[in-house]
Amino acid sequence: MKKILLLLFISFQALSQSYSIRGSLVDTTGAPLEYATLFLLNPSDSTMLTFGRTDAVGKFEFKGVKKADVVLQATFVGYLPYKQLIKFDPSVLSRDLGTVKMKPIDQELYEVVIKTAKAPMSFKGDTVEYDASKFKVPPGSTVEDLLRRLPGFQVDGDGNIKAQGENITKVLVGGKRFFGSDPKAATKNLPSEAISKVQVFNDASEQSKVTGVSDGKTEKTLNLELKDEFKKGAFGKFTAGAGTEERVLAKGNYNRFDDKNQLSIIGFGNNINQSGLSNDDYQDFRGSQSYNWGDNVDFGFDSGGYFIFFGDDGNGESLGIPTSWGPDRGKSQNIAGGLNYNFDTKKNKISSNYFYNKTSQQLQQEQYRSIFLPGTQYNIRSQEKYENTIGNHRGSIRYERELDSLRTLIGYVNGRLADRDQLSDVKQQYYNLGNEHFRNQRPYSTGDGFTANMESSILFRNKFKKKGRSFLLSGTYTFNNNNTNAFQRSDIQELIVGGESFPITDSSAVNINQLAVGLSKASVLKSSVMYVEPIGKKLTWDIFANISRTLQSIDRDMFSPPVESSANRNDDLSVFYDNTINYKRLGSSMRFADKGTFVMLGLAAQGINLDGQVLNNQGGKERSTITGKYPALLPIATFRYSFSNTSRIHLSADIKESAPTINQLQPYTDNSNPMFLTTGNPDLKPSRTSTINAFFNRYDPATFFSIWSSVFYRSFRDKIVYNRQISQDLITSTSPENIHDGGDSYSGNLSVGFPIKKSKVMADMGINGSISNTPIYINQVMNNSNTKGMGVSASLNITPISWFSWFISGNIWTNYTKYSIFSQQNQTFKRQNLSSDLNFQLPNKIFITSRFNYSHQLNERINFDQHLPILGINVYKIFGKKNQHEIRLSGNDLFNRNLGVNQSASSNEVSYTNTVTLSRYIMLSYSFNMRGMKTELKRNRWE
Amino acid sequence: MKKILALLLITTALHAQKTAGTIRYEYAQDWLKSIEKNKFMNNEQKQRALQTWKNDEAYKTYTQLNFNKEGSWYGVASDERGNSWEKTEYWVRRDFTQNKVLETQMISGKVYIVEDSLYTLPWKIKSEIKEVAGLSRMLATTYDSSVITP
Repeated sequence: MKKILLLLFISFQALSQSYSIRGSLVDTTGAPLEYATLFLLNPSDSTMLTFGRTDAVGKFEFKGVKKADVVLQATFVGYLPYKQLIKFDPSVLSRDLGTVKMKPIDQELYEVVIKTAKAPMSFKGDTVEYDASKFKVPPGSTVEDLLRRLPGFQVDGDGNIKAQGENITKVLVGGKRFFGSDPKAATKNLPSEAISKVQVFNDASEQSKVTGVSDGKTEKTLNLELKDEFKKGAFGKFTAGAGTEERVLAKGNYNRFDDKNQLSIIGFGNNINQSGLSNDDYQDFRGSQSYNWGDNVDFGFDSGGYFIFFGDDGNGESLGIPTSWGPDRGKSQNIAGGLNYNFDTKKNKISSNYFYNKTSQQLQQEQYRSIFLPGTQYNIRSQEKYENTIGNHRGSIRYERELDSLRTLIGYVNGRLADRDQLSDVKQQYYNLGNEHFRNQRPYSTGDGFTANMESSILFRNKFKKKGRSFLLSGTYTFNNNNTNAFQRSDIQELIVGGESFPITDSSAVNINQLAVGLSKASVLKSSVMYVEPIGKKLTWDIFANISRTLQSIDRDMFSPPVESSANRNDDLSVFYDNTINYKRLGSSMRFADKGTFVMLGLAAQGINLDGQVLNNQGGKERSTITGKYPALLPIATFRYSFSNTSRIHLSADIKESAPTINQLQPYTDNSNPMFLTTGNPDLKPSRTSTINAFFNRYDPATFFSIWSSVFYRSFRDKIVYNRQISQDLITSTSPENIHDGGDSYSGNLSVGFPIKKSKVMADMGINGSISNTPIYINQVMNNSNTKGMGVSASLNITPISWFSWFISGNIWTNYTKYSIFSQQNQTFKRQNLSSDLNFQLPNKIFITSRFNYSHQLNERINFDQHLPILGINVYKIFGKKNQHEIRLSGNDLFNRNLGVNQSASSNEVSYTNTVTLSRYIMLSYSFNMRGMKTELKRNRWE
Repeated sequence: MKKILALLLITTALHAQKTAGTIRYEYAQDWLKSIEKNKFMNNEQKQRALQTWKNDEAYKTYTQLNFNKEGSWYGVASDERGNSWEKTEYWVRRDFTQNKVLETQMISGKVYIVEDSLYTLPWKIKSEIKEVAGLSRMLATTYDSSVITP
């Protein structure tokens, strides 16, 4: 109690002896400045200690001021800010400053301040800054005309400039000297609309800048700040290289940009299997239009629907500019080039581009297939050669206009014209169970094709004042025309053997020499509409409708012998087919989101109506009609919950229904390989897929421990499968058919990541497994092949120091396939992989990176045992003042063992394929990058 | 348990009193600006990101400050819609009568309620004058050393 009393006493004492500062604020005429703002600042760093105002007669007083030196700062509209250092004197605790005089801002300037609503000028220390946009000058004026209008400036007839009564001796543009020493060069030549700010300040004289000793002289300096759009930039990259095995590469790009415009050109050519742009090059090429996430024109949740992959003509080509992750299979020569221009303002965004690429790919492969039949089996060895050349012209235009702050309109057109040539030459040797060579077959074809496709869309988005409410409307028209001509030959040679020889009954059907002329057309007109309404703070409700009408026609004429004439037309193999698919969907969903919980429930009613006819020939006799109505009710449900900010669980379930593709429906037999006939099935029904998906993940930012696990289940109704019918002479006929039940699959995985030493050594380990069932009918007998796969993987990321990084990973995968009707064929195959990615940075910006990959594939049953050690080493040096140059020596596949390997087990066959692929070469290359090379070693596996 | 009770009491106490005023804040996160300044990307990566995403608008969230003579509450604005990616909302509660501040802080994935005495930000008054909405304003800046910026 005593203590408290004492404390109280002390504090009273302290209060009674507090330091106070008072005074009164007047202008130069002695009139008091009422309600002016005053601050006391810390002299060392201008930090505010306290603030106050003058009273109605200009008096002020600060009580309880910190006993130290302080700066008094006073401000009043129209007056120059006043500053005074007040030294602390312990003997004067009640400091009276008397009257403090403030100077008005120059009357001429002040009037301008008053006249314009927004401040056209401001003071920053000793700098006076003018906002150029606030002073109107006629279009086409020079900076000189602008300066004439600035308060405090005088420009004489010769263009000499005076500011605040002094001559301007130095003019800077963007803080930098502009064309030598003549200050008029900039002011007479620059357009006034390029200027955003004009600043006047006193700069140290050139002499004192050189000597570093202040001579007390200053130069009145004018600085002109440019508007953003007049700030221009350019960047570019160029690489050329040549190597052994006649490997060459060249690529380059150049971009110019300012805040509204982006113009870029790109080109490359190589024979090292790089057919597309890297992701980085794509982004440099397309700039602000690289990704337009909002251009989706199909609203509502995905429930399958009727989708044709429009850009894809079956050759893996799409409407978008091709990008690639790594080298392709086989060997390829590639050239490409393009031009992109974007113009972006807040209200209007226009983009256009053109891109051409041509790729010639050669695939040489060896295949071994083992085919099971009820009671027996046969094997085929084949040597295959494929050559494909495709040239694509792609173009696109996109326009986005912000109609007002709530409404946006987007329109775009993407198009592609493609030309291709193909050749395939396959030599097949048939072996029976006793390994006797009983037959040779050689299917051979050459052909060419032409594709034109186009997609055009209009999209309207309307937001409302109410947050979260929106309305969307879209319309799209797409078409895809495809012409093909193919000369197809096949010759069979039967050999006499002691064992089973599966003799051919009708050799005229298997020795073909024909010309297939195909013309397929498809067009889709579709529209979607959606309305989204927020309910309260946590619920969102939407309703949507989608309609589309697809028109397809296939006109296929087969001529044998291969000359186009009506006499040669093979009516059995020729067909004209056209159909219309009407698709309608009406759906709604409800979403709940709040504090870690997300729930979505949705339901859509969908109808697919198919209406088609098959004719002998265009305008010819009708063979059959195909009609079908497929109504469906399709739900979706998603649930996500966060246990904390670092762990969450996700569950989702949905049912999708999708119509068969045009290739599955087309009612003709493709006999280009007469030993393997494919026939479309116009009676196919849509197939229904049910999916259940769950995952859990947790990441602990304190320990860096992470866990990720997921399970996935999928089941089908009316799954489309390719049933097989194999005749006595081994002619296989396959056709897509719906299987009522079956074909379900399960998969799951669990992986954990943890540090062995934080930020230096990270480890990942995982286990995954899958089960899938593939039911098909083989000669009317149901065979279910059940495949179980199981794998383990582990990886280490070692990044202990800045000049060294090492990434190691390994995985083992075992696949076990069980056949319900060929149980003696049950088999196991294994795949093991080990890779090491080792990188060093040496002094003088020299880098060594290496990648070693060892893979082993094994299937004892078919005597397949393949070891592939692949080693690549790069040594490169970066040089130049701005790190713009690089010279690189790269060794690819130094053991010369690269091979594309694929093994599979499905339906009634097991196979493996080896593809000759780009192998060992050494290349020396030089690169120049205007933006400078990266001078750090990679710290991340995926870089 | 005592702590929770105390907290509840404060909450109800604040709610019981009338709010004297509300300030609404717009918090814009322009990640292009942070890309420009970060130290882990090289010049090429930065420029590529700036060129690619230049049309993207800053991500805006709205917060509000309710205050009266006794205290204030700062947190997510009342008209902000719920989200499912944040388990805990950020808020700051100041009690002027007891010179106390309570604030949620996420450290290593865990949410802590930090209790501290009120502190005053070190404001620096600059001499730049600007007229906003007809009134003369002076530029003042501060640096909050308690906020760790990435």
